[in-house]
Amino acid sequence: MLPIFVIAKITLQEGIRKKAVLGGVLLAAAFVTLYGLGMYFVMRDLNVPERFVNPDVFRDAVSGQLLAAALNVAGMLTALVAIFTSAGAIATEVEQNTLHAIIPKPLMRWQVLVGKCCGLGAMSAAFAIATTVALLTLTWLFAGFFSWSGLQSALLLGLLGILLSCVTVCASTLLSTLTAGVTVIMLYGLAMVGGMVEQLGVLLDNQVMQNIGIIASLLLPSDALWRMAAQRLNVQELAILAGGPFEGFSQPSLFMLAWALLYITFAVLLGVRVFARKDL
Amino acid sequence: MPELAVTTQQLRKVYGTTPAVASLDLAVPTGEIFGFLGPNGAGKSTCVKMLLGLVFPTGGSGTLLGAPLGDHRIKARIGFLPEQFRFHEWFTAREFLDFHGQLYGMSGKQRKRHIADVLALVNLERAAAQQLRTFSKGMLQRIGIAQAVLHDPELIFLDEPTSALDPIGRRLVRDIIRQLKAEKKTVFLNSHLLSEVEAVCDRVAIIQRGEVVRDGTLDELLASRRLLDVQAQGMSESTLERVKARWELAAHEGNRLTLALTDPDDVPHVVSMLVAAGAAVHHVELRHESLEDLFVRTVDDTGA
Repeated sequence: MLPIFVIAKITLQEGIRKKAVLGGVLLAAAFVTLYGLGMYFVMRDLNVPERFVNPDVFRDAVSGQLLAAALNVAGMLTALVAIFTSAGAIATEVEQNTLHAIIPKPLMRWQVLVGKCCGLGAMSAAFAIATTVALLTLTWLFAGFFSWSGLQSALLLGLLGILLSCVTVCASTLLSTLTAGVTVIMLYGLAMVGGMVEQLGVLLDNQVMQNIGIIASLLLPSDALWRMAAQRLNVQELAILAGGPFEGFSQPSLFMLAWALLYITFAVLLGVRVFARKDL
Repeated sequence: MPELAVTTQQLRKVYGTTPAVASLDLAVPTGEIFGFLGPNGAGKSTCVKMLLGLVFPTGGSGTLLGAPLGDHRIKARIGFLPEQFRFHEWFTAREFLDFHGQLYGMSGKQRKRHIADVLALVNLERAAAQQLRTFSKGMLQRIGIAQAVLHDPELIFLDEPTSALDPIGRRLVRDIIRQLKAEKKTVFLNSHLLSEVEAVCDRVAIIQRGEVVRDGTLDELLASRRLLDVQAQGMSESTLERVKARWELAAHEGNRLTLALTDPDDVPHVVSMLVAAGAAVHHVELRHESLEDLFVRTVDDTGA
């Protein structure tokens, strides 16, 4: 087996054993269960106003709003799992000298770093996709609302997990475990606030505010990825519950998707460069 | 196979403005057990880390098995037990060795056979299915040695391999090192336990502030000086002064003194001088200098 896959496999196995992942999975399970219950009761007790000729449109709109709100939470949970599991990927192993037994083996340092990105990225992506698919399934079961593009949303949230894992692993080559985690969480928060400012800017027709949001997305395209995921569900027009009152006015272009992929590549390359020169 | 398994030329590491290794010149012949000694902070671990690619040298050069430092092709022929080793403790012993076997690029068949062999070698067969977190320090050190020799390397670095072991464990490691020597392997042993080093090493180097201050085969280093332990009552200050004027006083405590002799035939002269001065001589023993004596003398002479 290639060294990258050996490292990726071991990283994945180790990540699954971590309490942060277990906590994330338990929280996600509780959240999905609550969502299912909520959706069930809303659909059972929903009174469709008489002015709606086709009650299915109203029901789809309500379930869509709930789904968009749930997707926002799924995005946040994915971010937390990705950041907490990746913050110590290199830093903790340097602090604990675990790498001393690995680096002298016949493999290159870049293979260790890329293997860790692959393992942690796969874990975060699997978490995001599983959570999103569970939400879509419950929505279909209880509300009868289904959209194939929801699977694209799941993949986009998976990409969000990969993005944050790779960025955090990169930070972990430069900073201590705690500092790396805090730094990426702050960056993630900044991007989220930037996204809200951008939406307000669209609402108020203020170009400066819109530019601030775009710059925040360039700093870390996590919020842009989440909004693209919500857009794929075709629920953003009514999703006033989703991530505050400002979702749904402006949607990121495909350029942001390309930027996210480039960003992941840059983060991995920077991590490789720093790790290749690091004294252990 | 090259004649020298490890060489360094003016190998240097500086952290900021502080030199951890000033300028290290080493030559370790292939097939020998080499003891790498020095007081705390002398730069031993930094040197080992530079040889193994964990730390990048500030200057100088070196070779491992004839290849320049940093050549990745050579890594498959090298084994390493780190000093402050920490392993993934959720592994069982067998899983742990399997993981390291995969990193060495061993096939499934090879891993199966070698894992059974090394578990037997370090006497951990019964703990094969046990998680590492349940291991004692000594067991962890033994499984660490197992991963270092798993792939049948030609050159093995052991950094403090017996620090956590009880006397039985130490004997086991001593036997493993002797077995490796019998298989013509080269062992680079970094240890504070001088009696262990003396028992197994062919050659040693003592470093101080990142420079070799003494090196050679143990026979050369220890045969050149004889020590005479004397226990005598009634030695006056003037008697001691007369003894010191003629021979080197290596140690003195109460009624015991140790003299360094260049000529073993001086023993009767020492005894005669003490008796003539009125001292009652109870015990006299001529012995070779131990590695510990040599180490302490070298470190004292070079100003630790």
